[in-house]
Amino acid sequence: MASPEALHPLSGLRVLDIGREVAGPVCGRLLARLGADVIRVESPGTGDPARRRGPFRAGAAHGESGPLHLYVNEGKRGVAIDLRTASGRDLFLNLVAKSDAVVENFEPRVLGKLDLAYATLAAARPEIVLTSISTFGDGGPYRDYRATELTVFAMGGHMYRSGDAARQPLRMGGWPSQYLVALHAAYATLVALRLAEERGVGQHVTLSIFESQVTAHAQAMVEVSYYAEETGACTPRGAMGLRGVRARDGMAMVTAQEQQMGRLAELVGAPPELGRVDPMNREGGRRALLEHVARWAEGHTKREVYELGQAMHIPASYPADPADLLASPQYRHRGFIESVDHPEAGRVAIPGIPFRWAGSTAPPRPAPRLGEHNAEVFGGLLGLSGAQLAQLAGAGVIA
Amino acid sequence: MTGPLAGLTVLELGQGVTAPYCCLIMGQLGADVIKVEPPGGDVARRMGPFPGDVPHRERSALFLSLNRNKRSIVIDLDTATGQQLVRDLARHAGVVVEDAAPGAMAERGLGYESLSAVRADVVLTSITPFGQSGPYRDWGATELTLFALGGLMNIMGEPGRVPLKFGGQPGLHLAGAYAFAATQTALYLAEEHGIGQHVDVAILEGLGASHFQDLTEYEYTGRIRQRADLRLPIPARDGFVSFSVQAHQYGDFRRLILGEEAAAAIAAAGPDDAVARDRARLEGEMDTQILEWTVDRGKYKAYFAAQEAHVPAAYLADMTDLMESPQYAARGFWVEVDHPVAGALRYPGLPAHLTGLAVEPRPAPLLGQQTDEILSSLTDLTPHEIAEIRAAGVLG
Amino acid sequence: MTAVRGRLPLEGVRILDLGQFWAAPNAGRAWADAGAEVIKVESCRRPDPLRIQARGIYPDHDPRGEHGDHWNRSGMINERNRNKLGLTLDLQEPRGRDLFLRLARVSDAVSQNFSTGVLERLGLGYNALAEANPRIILVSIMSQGLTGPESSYVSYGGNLEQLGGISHLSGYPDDPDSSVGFALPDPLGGATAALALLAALRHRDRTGRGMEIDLSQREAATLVVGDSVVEHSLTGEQPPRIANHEPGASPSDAYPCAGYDEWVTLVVRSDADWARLCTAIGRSELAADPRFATIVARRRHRDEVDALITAWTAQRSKHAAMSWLQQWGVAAGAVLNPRELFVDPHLRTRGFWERVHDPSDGEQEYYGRAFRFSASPLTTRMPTPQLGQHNREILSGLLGLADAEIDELERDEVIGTRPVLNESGGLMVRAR
Repeated sequence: MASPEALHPLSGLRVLDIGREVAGPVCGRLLARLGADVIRVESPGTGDPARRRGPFRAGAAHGESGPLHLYVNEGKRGVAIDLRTASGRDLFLNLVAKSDAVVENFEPRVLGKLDLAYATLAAARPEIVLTSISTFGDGGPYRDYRATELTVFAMGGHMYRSGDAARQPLRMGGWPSQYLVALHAAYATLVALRLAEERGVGQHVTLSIFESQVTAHAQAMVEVSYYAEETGACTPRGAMGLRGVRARDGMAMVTAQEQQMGRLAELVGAPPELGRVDPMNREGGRRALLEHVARWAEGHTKREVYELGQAMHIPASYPADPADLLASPQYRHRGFIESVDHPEAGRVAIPGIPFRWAGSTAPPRPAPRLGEHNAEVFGGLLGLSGAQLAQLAGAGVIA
Repeated sequence: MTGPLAGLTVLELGQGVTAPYCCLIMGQLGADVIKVEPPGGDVARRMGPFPGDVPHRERSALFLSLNRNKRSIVIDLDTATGQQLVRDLARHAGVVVEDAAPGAMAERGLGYESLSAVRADVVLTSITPFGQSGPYRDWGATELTLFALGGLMNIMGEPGRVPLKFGGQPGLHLAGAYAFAATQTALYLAEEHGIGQHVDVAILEGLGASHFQDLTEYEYTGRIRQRADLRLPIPARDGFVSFSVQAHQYGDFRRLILGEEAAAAIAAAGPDDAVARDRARLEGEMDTQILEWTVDRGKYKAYFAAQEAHVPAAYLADMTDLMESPQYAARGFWVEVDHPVAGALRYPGLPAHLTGLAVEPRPAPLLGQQTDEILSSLTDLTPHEIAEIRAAGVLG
Repeated sequence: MTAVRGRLPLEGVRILDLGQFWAAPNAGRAWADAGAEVIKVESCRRPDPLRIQARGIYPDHDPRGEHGDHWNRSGMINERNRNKLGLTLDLQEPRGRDLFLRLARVSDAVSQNFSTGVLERLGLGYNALAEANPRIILVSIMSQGLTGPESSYVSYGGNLEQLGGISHLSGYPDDPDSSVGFALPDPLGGATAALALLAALRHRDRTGRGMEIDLSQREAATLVVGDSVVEHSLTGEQPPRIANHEPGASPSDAYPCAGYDEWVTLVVRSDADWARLCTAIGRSELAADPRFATIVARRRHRDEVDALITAWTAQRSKHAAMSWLQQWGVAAGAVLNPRELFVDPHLRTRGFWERVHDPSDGEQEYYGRAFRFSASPLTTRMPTPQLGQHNREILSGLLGLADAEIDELERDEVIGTRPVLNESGGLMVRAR
C-alpha cells in the first residue's frame, strides 16, 4: 500500500493561496486537485468576495454555499488571517517558512504595502516560489488600472468582433480571462518549483491577464504583424459569426467545410447539387443549403442534430446548458463532473480536472468554511496554543 | 398578551454590550428586534469565551447571551446602498438604538435628522462613553477606563495596592439598562403624542449616578471616601461569606457569633449605641470569633444560619453557586434555549416578572440569518435586486 | 539567485511534439519557452497542415519568398513553434516509426493532437511507446478525449465552446444565437496540457513510471463556466445570459465612443465607484441623486444611467475615455482590436513583442509569453524550425546515425525538408 505521500503527483507540496475571487484561487484549486496541500488564506470577518456570489440554495448559509466559492475553492484547507496586522503578517510568514509556493492575484502594489513582497518571503524561505497574477503586470502605463473580467476581456482583443453591428459588443460568459491565466500560472508555478527543488532557490513568477489574453489570439496577431494594413477589424461585427439553427428544443449549429458539404446535403435531404461548391455562386449556394439545414433542424432536438450530424462526420454541435452538461453521456463516461458533499450547501455537482491519467487526482474535497482549519494549521502546523489562538481571534487577526 | 412591547419594531445598530443589552431587554419583552450587523458580524462574536477556547463566531458566549430574541441582518453601513437600506427599514421601526462613536451615524445619513425625516416619531437612542457633547466626547473608552473615570474604582480594592474594577462589564450593562428605561419613556411620548426624539445616554453618567451616596457625602462634608473604608469577605470552609450589619442588628449579630450568654454579657456591659457609630471597631473586637464561627462552616450553612438569626449575610457566589441556586431556580431565572450551532445552554432571564408575559425565548441569530426574510418583507426589493446588492458586498 | 541564473527551468527535459494546428503546438511552445528541448516531429507527407494552407498568412502576402519555400513561411506556424527543433519522419513507414520509437526511448514525453485513433493506427499508441520507454509520458490533447461515446466526433473550437457550455452563457439575453466566440478551447487545451505534463514529470520523479494523459478540450472549456454547473446543481435553475453584466455591478457594459464601432467597457462595482464616475464625467451632483445613489436605484433607472454615460463616451475616443476614467479610479477598458494591441503602449513598454529573425520569413514581430520568471528570463532563443531543419543534428546526435544512413533515409523520403506533394500540389497520402 503506497504511503499517502506518494499517492498524487503534487503530494508533499504546500501552497498558500492568498488570492482574490477567481484567477489566483483557480490556480490554487488546480494544484490542490493534483495533490498539493493548498491552504486558502482569506480575510477574517467576511472572507473572500467570491463567497457572496449567489444564487444560494434556499435556507443555506450565505457566505458558505455560493456556487462560485464552492467551485474555485474546492480541494483546499481554509484559514483566515488579517494580513494588515503585524501579528497576522508574522503568522503568515511562519506559514511561508513551511510552504513551497505562494499564489496571489492582488494588484501589483498590494504585497509591497503589506510588507510581504518577494524579498520578504524569500527571507522566510529561500526556496519559495511566489506566483503573482495581476491584470497588467508589474510595470507599464496600465499597471495601476482597475479592471474586472469584462474590462480585461474587452482590452484583450476578443470582444471587438462579437455581437451584432447594431448593438454593443459582448463578453464571453463565465471567466475566460481568469481561467486562461490561472492555467498559465499553475504551469509556471510547477516549472519554477521544479527548478527550486533542483537548485534550492525559488523565484518570483509574474503573469499578466492582459498578456495572457493576447497570447490566445494567434491568427489575428500574426496578421497584424505580417500585414502592415491589417487591423483585424475590417469585417462588420456579426457578419462573420457562426450562426446556428433552431432545433425543436433550442439552438444547434451545423458547420460544414467545403469537403463536407456533400454529406451535409445528404443528411438534410437537400438536392445533391447544393452539396457541391459552385465557384460562381459561393454565397448563394451556401445560403440555399443552409435553408435546408434550418428546415431539417426544426424537426429534431438539438441533441439529435448533434448526433446525426456527427454520424456523418460533420462538425455539428449545440450550446449545452448546465443541465445538458450534467446529463452528457460523454462527461458521464469520463466521470468529469464529480459530486462533493458540503456541510452547508449539501451535495453539489462540480467539474473536476479535464484529463484522465494514471497520476490520479486527489478526491474532491468541499470548499472550506471561513477559517475552518485555523486550529489545524496554526496549532498543528505552527504549534500555537489554544490560548494564543483565542487571543488572536479576539483581536480579529484570525477570525 | 405575548409581551408589552409586541408590535414594536426596534432597529439595533450596535455591537458589544451597551446597545445589544438595551435591545435584549426589549426583545425579551416582545419587541421585534432587528439587529444590523457589519460584514463579519458584531465584535462580540469574536470576544468569546468559547467552548474549548476554539473561536467560532456562532459560539461566543457573550454574543449568544446578549443577542437572544433578535433577528440578524448584515449591512455594510459604509455604502450608499447600505445606508439607504437602513433608512428604508427605519420606516418600520419605532425605536432605533445605536452605540457608534458620536457623529459616526450622522456622517452616514443615519443620525437623528435623517431618521426623523424618514419617520417623524422615531426614538433614536444613542449610547456612548461620554455622551454626544462635551470635551471628552471623542475619547476612546472601555469598561475599565470608564469604571475608573466614574469614581467607583477609587474606592475598590486594598489600600496601598492597585485599585480594582468590578468583574464583568457592569458599567456597560448599566448604561444599557438606563438606555432601555429612557427609551421606553421617550417611546411613551412618541406613541401617545407622535413626538420622537434623540435620547443621549452616556456610560460615564450611569456609573456616576450609581454611587450618589458618596457624592452626597462629599457635597455635605467634603470627605472623599477611601479604599481603607471597605471590609473584606471572611473565609469560610469552602469560600467566603460577608456580613452587612446595621446598628439595630448588632445584638443579633453578637448572639449569632458569640452565643446567647456571651452576647447578653456584653449587652449588659453598656449600651450599644456607644459603639454603634463605629461598626468596624465592633467587629474588630469580634474578628477572631467571627472567623472561628465561619472558617469551619460551609458558606451555605453560614449564610442560612445567619439569615435565620436575622443577620444580613451573604456568601461569595461563583458560577456554580449561581446556576445551582435554589432561589434562582424557584423563580425560573435561568432559561434554557437551544441554539442551532452552540447547542442547548442556560441564560439569565429577565430580572423582573411580569404577569402574563409569554414571550418565547429564542436563541441568538446566526450571522445574517434573517437578511433575506427582513429585506423581502420590509422593503420593495425583488429577489433579483437582493442578489445584486449581495454580490456587490453590501450584505456582507 | 546566482544558482539559477542562466539556467532555464526545463533544461534537460526532451519532448517529441507531434502536435498540429494550435492546441498541442501551443503546449509545446510553453515547454520550449521554459527551456525544454521540444522536437517538432512532422511527416513530409503530412506536415503540420498550417504549413500548406491555401489561405495562409505569409509575409507581405508572398508565399514563395526568396527561396520558394512557402511551407516555411506560414505565419501561423512561425508564431507557435518557436524555440523548437524540427524533425521530419514518415511515421507510416517502418523505418520512420522505428526511429520515432528510438527517439522516444531517450525522451521524456510525447505530445499529440491527432484525431482519435490515428496514433494507435500508426503503431505509436501509449502501449507501444511505453514498451519502448516505460518512463515515457504521452500527452494527448483531444477535442473530447480518447474515450467515451463522443470521443471520435469532429469538433472545432467553435463547436467545443458550444458543447462545453460557454456559448449558452454568452450573448444578449434576448438572443440565443449571439455570436461571441474566438476558439478559446485551443489555448485552454494547450495551457492545460502544459500543466499536466509538469505534474506527470513530478509523479514520474517519485514513482519512476510514466503515464498517458488523456485531455479533453471540451472539458477544459467547461471549466470556464464550471460555477454555472455548481449553481444548477444547487438550485435546479438555469443561469441566465447576462450579456456584459457582472453581478453586483451597476452599471456594467460597453458604451459607444467616437468613431465607427468604437466602444469602451466600464464597470461600477460599488456606490463609491459611482461617485467617482460622476466626478469623472463632470456630473458630481448625480452621486447623491436618489435616482442613482444606490445600486438598486441605478438598476431601476438603467436607461437613464446608460444615456448619461453614453452622452459622455460618445464625445471621446475609446482610448481617451479609458485613460480618463482610470485616472478617476473607475474600472474601464477599451474594446481593442489586434492592430491596436500590436501598437499598444503598455504592451510595447513591457517588451511583450519580440523581434525574431527567421531565415524564411525575415524579421517579424511576435507576441511573447504570459509568464515571466525573475531569475530565469525567457526569450525566443530560436525561430520556428524549418521543415526538417534539424534532421541530421537529431538523428546523428541523439540516435548516433551515420551520415550514410541519413542520406538513405532522405533518398527514400522517410525524412526530408520539403513536403511531398502530388502533381496537383496536394499532399501525397500514403495508402494504408
